[in-house]
Amino acid sequence: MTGYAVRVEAVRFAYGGGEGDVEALKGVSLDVAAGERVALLGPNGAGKTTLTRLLVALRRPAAGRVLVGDWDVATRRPDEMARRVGYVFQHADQQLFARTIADDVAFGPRRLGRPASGVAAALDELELEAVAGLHPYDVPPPTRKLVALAGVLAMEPGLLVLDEPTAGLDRRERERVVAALRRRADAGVTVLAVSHDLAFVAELAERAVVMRDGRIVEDRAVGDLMYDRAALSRVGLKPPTTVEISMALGLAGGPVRAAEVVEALRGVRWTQNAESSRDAEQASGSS
Amino acid sequence: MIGYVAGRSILHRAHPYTTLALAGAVLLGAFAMTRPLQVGLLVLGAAGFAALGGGATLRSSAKPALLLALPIWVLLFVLHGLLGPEPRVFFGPVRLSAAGIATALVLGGRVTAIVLAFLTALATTAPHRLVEAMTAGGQPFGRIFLLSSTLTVLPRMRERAALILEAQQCRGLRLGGSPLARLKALGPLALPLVLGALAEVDEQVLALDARGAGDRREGGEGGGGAARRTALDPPRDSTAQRVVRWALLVLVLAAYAWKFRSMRG
Repeated sequence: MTGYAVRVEAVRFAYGGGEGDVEALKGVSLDVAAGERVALLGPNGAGKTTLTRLLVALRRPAAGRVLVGDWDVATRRPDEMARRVGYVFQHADQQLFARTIADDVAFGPRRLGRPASGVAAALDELELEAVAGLHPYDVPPPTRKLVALAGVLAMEPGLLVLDEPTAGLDRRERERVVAALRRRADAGVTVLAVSHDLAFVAELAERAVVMRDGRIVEDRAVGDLMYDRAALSRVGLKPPTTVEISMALGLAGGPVRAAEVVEALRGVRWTQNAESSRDAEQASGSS
Repeated sequence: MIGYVAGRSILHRAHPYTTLALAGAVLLGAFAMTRPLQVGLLVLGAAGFAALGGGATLRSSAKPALLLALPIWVLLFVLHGLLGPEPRVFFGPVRLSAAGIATALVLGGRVTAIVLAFLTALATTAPHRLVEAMTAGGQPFGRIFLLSSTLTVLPRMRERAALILEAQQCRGLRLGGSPLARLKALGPLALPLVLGALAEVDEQVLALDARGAGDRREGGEGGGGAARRTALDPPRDSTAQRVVRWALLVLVLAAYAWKFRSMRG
């Protein structure tokens, strides 16, 4: 699967277009390499969603340029951009319409002339086969959100743009999303996710771009940012629990993902046991 | 754009009942008017009512009113002009019924005036102010909910429709093309809109029930009589506005009295 690079060059965008317009993006520049997994963080109203909408031609920049691969987004329609970019809306569960979940997931691939095999794969990845024959409104909203994500995965895009993909999902559902996105990323797909869920970001992303007031204020490795409590606090965020534990215990290597923290904790227990055994030996020797 | 447009005009500041009374007077008055000249004056009155709402209101109500009324005008002229009784007059190369044209003018004028007046009332009456006014007036909750839901449904549906449109475009749906392609595109746009709206209403009713909105008993269980809710910030009414509302009622009654008298005469 071909991943697409993203280039955003000095983009400005304002809502309203009149005197009282609100400038949502104030000269944003960003380069994302093909196959990279990037999290877009920041408080509400920072311009994150606006930036992602420019990537699929739902909005046109007032100044600057947006490129997805070699396509200048300004010259494309949203339905054309769908060939390269899969966009999952924040309230994606509201877009479902077909008689069955499987039909709905197949809508995008059918429109784009993509193979039907992608539908089965996407349903399988998100563990939706059991509900594939049900009406989308006969399943709870979190499942509908997974259906919407499956619909986009089935289109097999080279760039996945997700707006709050884990909002409202429970732990197991979130794990399914992370696993599916990581699999796509491993296959070369570029992933750009807007999220307030730092535990999800820790599991998925390798790079974090932080926005505030229409500007990018931080752009660094996720592992680095998660341990910078002050930088997170400036944009109203705090490290996920796993990183808090790691910081409190001073775990070596700055683990970020839950599995890495667990691994590091195993090491700590082993060290403590060794020390306490040594202490015990010394104590018995001295007596 | 149909729906409330924020502003500071005299209509925006007026008590919601006064604005609704003006629109209601146009509605009732329209059926008391039977001649083209009378209906013409009513349309001018409705336009004056819209102008009181300021430029933004006029733009938001006049354009949709004309767009809604235009097909009706065309239909009326075709039906009554071509099929109306003799004598006929020449309109360019076409011979049309004079009485039919008069009927079309009356009916078309009525529709235009009514639509314009109600779109103006919609554009200048903030739903929350109307809810507060009705609450202060001791109206039952069911009636308040029904009216405020109707007033707020349009902007909400418009917002939701825009989101669905964008979401389906991002799934490869093309909006242009042949009439058949456009017709096919309606399903993915209309179905989620309707299904979503139904689900939302369902949730809203449950939420309102959970907050005791359906409880008619005073002081909850064991109480008697209908509970009267407190309006936290009711819109200010005035003697002048009350006089205007009564005057409109008298005017409408007078118009009907005059109509029936002239019919008998």
